[in-house]
Amino acid sequence: MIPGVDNLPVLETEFLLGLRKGDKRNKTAKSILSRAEEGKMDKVVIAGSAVMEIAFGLRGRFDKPDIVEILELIRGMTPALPILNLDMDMIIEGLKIELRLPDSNLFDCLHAATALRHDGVIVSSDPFYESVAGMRRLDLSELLHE
Amino acid sequence: MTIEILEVGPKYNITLKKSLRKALGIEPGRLLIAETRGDTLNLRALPKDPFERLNTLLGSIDGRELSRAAEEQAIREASKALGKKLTLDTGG
Repeated sequence: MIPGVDNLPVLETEFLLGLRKGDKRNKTAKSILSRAEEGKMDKVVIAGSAVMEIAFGLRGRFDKPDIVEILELIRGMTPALPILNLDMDMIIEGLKIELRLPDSNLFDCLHAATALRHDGVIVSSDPFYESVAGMRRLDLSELLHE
Repeated sequence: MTIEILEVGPKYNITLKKSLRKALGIEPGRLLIAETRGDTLNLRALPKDPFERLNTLLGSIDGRELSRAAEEQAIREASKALGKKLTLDTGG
């Protein structure tokens, strides 16, 4: 785990997009997957809201069969990383975050609410999460440091 | 089409016979999606390089752009669905 951080980090959409071969974070994302498959990332989860963000975000610009294929590919590549699905309390918390931070995006707020449920650590390069009370942000590469 | 009878082993493992491996081009390490539908188990091979395939499908879509589109789409679809239900509930 991360030194000095007793936590359960939540991966958001950035990690899922990082699974693309051409993405600048692909090497790091692949290393995280390898660690997870070795059982060394057993406390890391993927935010269910990140999966929803991809499913919704691609609608209207991608054909539905392509969206299904994209989600199946992600599902197939991440068997060792559980999905932490949204529940009603997380949705309420996400909306409260959105109220406190008016310029925020709904899905960022839902990812934040998921992380707050899961000890408040989110893995992302987005500085937005630093403005959410009780959150700690880690870069993807920081997950690999021992 | 290739049809084979497979036997479930003591640890619930199944070995894919050569004809099936050949038909699907499956090698050790290849990821398969197993999907049940009723009493049917459907096995599909993921692409040899899923990272490359994901790159081809998603292209260079940017995270911010995706977030904005997702929010707009979610609001649009939820409003549509909720509006329909409210109309039905009130008999409108």
